[in-house]
Amino acid sequence: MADWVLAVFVVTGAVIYLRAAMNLERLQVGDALGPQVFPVIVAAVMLCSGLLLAWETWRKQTMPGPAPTQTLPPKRGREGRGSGPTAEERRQRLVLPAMAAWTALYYVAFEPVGYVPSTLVYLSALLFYFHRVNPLINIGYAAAFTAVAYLLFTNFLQVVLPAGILQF
Amino acid sequence: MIDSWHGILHGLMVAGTPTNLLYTLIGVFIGTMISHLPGIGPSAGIALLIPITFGMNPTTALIMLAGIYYGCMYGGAVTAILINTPGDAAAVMTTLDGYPLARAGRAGAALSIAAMSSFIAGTLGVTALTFVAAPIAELALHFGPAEYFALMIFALSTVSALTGNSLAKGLLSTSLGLALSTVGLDLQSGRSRFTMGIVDLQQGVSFLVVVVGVFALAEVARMAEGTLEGTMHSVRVKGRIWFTRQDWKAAFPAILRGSAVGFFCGAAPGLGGTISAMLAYVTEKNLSKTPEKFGKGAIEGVAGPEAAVNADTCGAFVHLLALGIPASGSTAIIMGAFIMYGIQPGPLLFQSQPDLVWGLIASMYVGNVMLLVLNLPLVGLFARVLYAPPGVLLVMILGIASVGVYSFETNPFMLYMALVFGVVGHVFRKLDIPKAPLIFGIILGGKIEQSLRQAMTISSGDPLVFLKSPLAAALLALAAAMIALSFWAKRKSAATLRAAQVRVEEQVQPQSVP
Repeated sequence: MADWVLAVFVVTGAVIYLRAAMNLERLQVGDALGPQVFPVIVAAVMLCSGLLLAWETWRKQTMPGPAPTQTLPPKRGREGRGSGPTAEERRQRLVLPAMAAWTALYYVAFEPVGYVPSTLVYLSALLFYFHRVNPLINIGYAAAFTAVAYLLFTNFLQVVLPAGILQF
Repeated sequence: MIDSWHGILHGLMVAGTPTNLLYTLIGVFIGTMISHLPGIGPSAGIALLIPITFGMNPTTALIMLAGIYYGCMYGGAVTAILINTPGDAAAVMTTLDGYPLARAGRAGAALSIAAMSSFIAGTLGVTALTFVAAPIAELALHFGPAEYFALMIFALSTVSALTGNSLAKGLLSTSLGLALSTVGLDLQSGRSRFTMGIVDLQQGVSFLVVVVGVFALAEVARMAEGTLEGTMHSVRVKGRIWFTRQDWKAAFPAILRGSAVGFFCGAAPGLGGTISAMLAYVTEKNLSKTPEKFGKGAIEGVAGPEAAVNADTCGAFVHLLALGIPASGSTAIIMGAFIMYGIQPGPLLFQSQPDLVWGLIASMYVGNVMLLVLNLPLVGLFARVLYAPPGVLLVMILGIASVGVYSFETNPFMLYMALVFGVVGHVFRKLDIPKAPLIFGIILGGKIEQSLRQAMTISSGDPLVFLKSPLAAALLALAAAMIALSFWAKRKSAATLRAAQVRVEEQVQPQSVP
């Protein structure tokens, strides 16, 4: 099913990209092709890959053959016996989206809040979840990493990291 | 031949300076450490550390990045042997016999044979690189835009056709990479393309952002899942870290065969270390008088693939240095680093930057010796990295990736882009789409378009220019044959590899890391 969705997504994306490429201004002064042709070729390859994927998926579903070895059997339930997902598994499914959202928030705060405070809070919160030991140890890890990275980038690599709210 | 001798002697002087020796050591050390971190392969490691090399002398920086690469390949066996998890994808075949040896209390023998195999294959591979790269570069000097275009199309076809389990997904990944390479200002006409009015995209999609997102951030997501599901499990090193005379007698021919297989696979674009390791393993099993031992702890099953993986890294540099074409995902990232330092890899590099080329090659000899010295006596110490809490590691990797990406242009837009590509990388992994073709597309896209337009301009718009050159026509025919073969052939190699991975999953009795 995922491959069908992917195929549709790729074909749609390729058509949008092709249309955008066709709308590029034709400029061929001293250039036999101009800026339009290469993107059109790429769009055509993309379109072919989407159609080929649809064909591969269809063939996989319709042709009898040996048991598929291309994907590992999905682990479902605590013992992998085919029971429905447990409450823990449902909770785990939310972890990656939550992590991505937390990372996006960190990136938004990176400049206005500053590298040191935002990184300290960001890393500490992640460590609380992924490394469940004494919270003070996790804060120590986060502080040590932030300090070492700050010194490395500002002093050794001459990169100006945002001071944010610590700008006096 | 004489030029190569002169070149390598000059290179040894460059690589022998205290600064370059220090950075070679740092590179191989970091590479070894990275290889011991389950889930983080050479591509993610190099991507994470590229920002740290900004401001360094390009030769020194590239010596360090190359050191990370081959250091990583060298050390990939340790996780394969001790925790049944390949440190990089190429080490998957090492798990088949390495882990059973470890479970039988012979981890020391497996680790030391892997280290010796890597050293011998690495040294043989660099020697071949020394004497093969320069003549190929000289030959490539005669290539025109049509030949270059055909060569790059051949490289893209090979990587699309041979990477992953599906031709369609390989082509999809390649075309996405090519499409990304078209974003930004068109250098010939000066017009913006596909920037959607975003000023930050005028300079194009940064290669660094893509590799950090697709490799490092996506790997963090994988680690997070592994941590949550308790799939990381380890076996502690027991016994003497050395092999017996009988082990050596069985392993030595396998090392030589593996070196040859690995170097040739590395020199062919798109084959990569995983396929070379698989070919070496299959060769050893077929030649063995006791094939039934394979999969249960045959020392040749460790020696052959490990030699192939390390010789493959040297073969991959032939392409990169002599032709300016990467041979694998990791060398594509190193090529991206070359370009970011303002250096275009390719045949002219041997003339314009002899210090860099020969210094880099010579540093590999030095790096190999360093790796042997580091790995044999210190393997037990390095293995302690395996027991580092994965939760802490993944958080630290996120921290390094974020500050590294920001430091590139001190622009928060890069961070948002990296996050987007992290999601893309995660989706790629979930849908089994290979990542290497994406990087190939981004790296080669600009050059392919430039060569295409130059060739067409020279020929006054006649597309037959690609067929009039015998070399270009042959390469295009080979590219088409590669796609056609992949279309019709049942991907036995990928299926074998997947079977190996499934077997690895079944062999182990998971013990969750607390």
